[in-house]
Amino acid sequence: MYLELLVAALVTIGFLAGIRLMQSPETALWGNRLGAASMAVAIVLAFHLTGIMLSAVVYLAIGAVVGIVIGRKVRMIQMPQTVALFNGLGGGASALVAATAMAMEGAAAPWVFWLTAALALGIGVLTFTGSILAALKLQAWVSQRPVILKGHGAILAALLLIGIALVALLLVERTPAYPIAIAVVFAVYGVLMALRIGGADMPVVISLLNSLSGVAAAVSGMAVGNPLLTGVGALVGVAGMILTQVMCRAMNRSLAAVLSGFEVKPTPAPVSGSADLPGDGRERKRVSEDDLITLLQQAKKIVFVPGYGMALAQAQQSVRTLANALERDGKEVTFGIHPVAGRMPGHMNVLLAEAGIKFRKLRDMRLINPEFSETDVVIVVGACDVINPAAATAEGTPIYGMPVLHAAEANAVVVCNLDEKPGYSGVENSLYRQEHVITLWGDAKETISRITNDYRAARGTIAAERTAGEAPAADESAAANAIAGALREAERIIVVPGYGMALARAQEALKTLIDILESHGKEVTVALHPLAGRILGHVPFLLVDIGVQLDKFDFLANVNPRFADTDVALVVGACDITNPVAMDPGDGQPAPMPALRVSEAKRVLVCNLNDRPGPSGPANPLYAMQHVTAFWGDAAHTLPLITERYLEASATAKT
Amino acid sequence: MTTVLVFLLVCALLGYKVISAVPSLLHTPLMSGMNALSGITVLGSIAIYAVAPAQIRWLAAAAMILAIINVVGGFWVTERMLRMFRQESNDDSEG
Repeated sequence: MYLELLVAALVTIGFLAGIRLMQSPETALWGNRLGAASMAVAIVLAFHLTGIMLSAVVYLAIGAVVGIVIGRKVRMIQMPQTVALFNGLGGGASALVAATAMAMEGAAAPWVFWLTAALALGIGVLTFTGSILAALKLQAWVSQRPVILKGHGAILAALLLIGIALVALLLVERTPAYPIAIAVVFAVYGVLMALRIGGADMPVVISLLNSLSGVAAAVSGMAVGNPLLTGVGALVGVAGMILTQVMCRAMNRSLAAVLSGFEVKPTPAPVSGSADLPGDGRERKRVSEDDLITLLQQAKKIVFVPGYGMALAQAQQSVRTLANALERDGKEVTFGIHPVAGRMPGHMNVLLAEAGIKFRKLRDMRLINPEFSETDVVIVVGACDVINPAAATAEGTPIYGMPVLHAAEANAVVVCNLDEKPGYSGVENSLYRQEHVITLWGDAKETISRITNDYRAARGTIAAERTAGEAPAADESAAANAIAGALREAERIIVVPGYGMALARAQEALKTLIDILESHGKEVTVALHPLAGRILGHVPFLLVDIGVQLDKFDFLANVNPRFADTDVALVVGACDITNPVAMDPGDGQPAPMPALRVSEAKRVLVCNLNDRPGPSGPANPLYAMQHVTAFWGDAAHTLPLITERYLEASATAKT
Repeated sequence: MTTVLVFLLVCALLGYKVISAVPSLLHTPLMSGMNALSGITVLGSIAIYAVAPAQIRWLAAAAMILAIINVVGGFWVTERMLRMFRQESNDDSEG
């Protein structure tokens, strides 16, 4: 008994210390591992007390494998339904433990046992059915719309009363019919509770169900007299309650209001405060879509405000690419996160972290709100209600009093949402109509990519002008024109990047050119040579890092037969891997290394620093070939110049 | 029963203290971690499986399987999420 208590205390301390470590992102991983280790100790203790049972070990192994499979497979955007599913399983397990205990105990067992067991059964079953339905809704296997039956609230209240009455009856007369009835009543209650919850209310419900799964474990612990179950269950219950509270506060709605569901009615924003800004009295320029790129170029401080719409459009990667492009120019880029953005508490942070955005850039609402007034540009991606200034003024609407991100206080706001329809609350967004706001409706992924391309193209031009002085030298100009002309005529283009691209830091410039070529309907492939770069996969890594899509890459063996069929091969900072001599040194000697058959393309355009041979030695006869045009110089300089000439030529051709 | 109640109270209070201090940045991992903990019922299921008569043993077995999926899956996804938050120091250098 003492050993049991001691280990129970140690395990609990392990869990608490684990949560303590979760307070900081640097240590959180160890917190989780400490939690898992404590759980393993607890399971070993359980077997120590019962003796090893082979069949139990087999069941546990089966369950563990299932858990690992699910845990590995789910994507970050599916995290809410995964947590809901696990919640449901935990609740279900508690209910089953209570049911087993009830089936074993005789009528003579004390009333405390029957009370706690009945409660564990009821709460566990409720958690199970509610969570499973919530998970199905989040996975969109069941319609996400709130379903509100006639007299929904009354039915739920009646069910709860019946449930409590059944528990009371069970205490008086211990027949098996009552537990079964309790299970049925609470199962229906769980279903009806989750049924009327809609998408944006999910964070509250998931938190609540999380809490309930803990409560179920705690009460079942009381029933079977296991202090560890009770303590840890209470821990989970408290955590869930805290998160439920945080979520409710962030939506400015009571738990009861969320649970009673609400029908979305379109509400117009109030007239007051829609034409003018809510009173900080600062003057802002009226802006339009044409000013966008200039605004971004001049901006020093940029804040992204992502909402669940970003996740739905799967625009995280595009957002990251744009953020990178802006940061590379020395701008300060941060992300303002509203607590209820996403489908569970903190969901947006996970989605952005998955896209490779560093957590130091993620600011929660309280931290970011004072910063908006000093922000040059706010870029809203798929967020509506959480930035609606009407929350402060629109009395009587569902969002009145809800804390929002004060995006409207920035000098300019760019809204990249799907459409101008109101968000989940149904309240029209008064921000859209303000003069310093640019609205770009449409798929956020495309909108953001377009902004990135335009921004890069504009910057490329400026950079070229700056480095080349007043005007590029005549021969430079001629080379750029020749290459731009060849690119314009080409339909199928293979880009061959080498380590020279990395040395020149020309990946951004290359990506810009690729994006522009593609937007002009050309088929662009990036050929990869295993030896390009300093470590295996170095060059593709550099390109993927700035957002080149993986499906554009093609490897040596695949791409080689395609050169003959290609209009233009564009070599950027690659020498040895394009050397025809490497393929066929003549005199029947074996080829020292496989190369890309660049010379087979109809035209070859070379943007290398100079015509010197690469590290492996032999001069590259490619450079002297008839169909090859070379433009020697720093690729970070030559590529933007080519891009500029290309755009000029395209523009003249159009007019 | 008293021990159980004392344990419950202490855990709830300490839990409230440490959990409230977790930043909103980590709320999703916190929740999925706590979620894994709610699978603690696995202990109850093991204990009761050991003593349950044969005809209702399947109930305890089912509880065991559900709970362990909860535990293992919960810790696993939390691990995955938190790894994403840690990859900071290695790739801070640009270019």
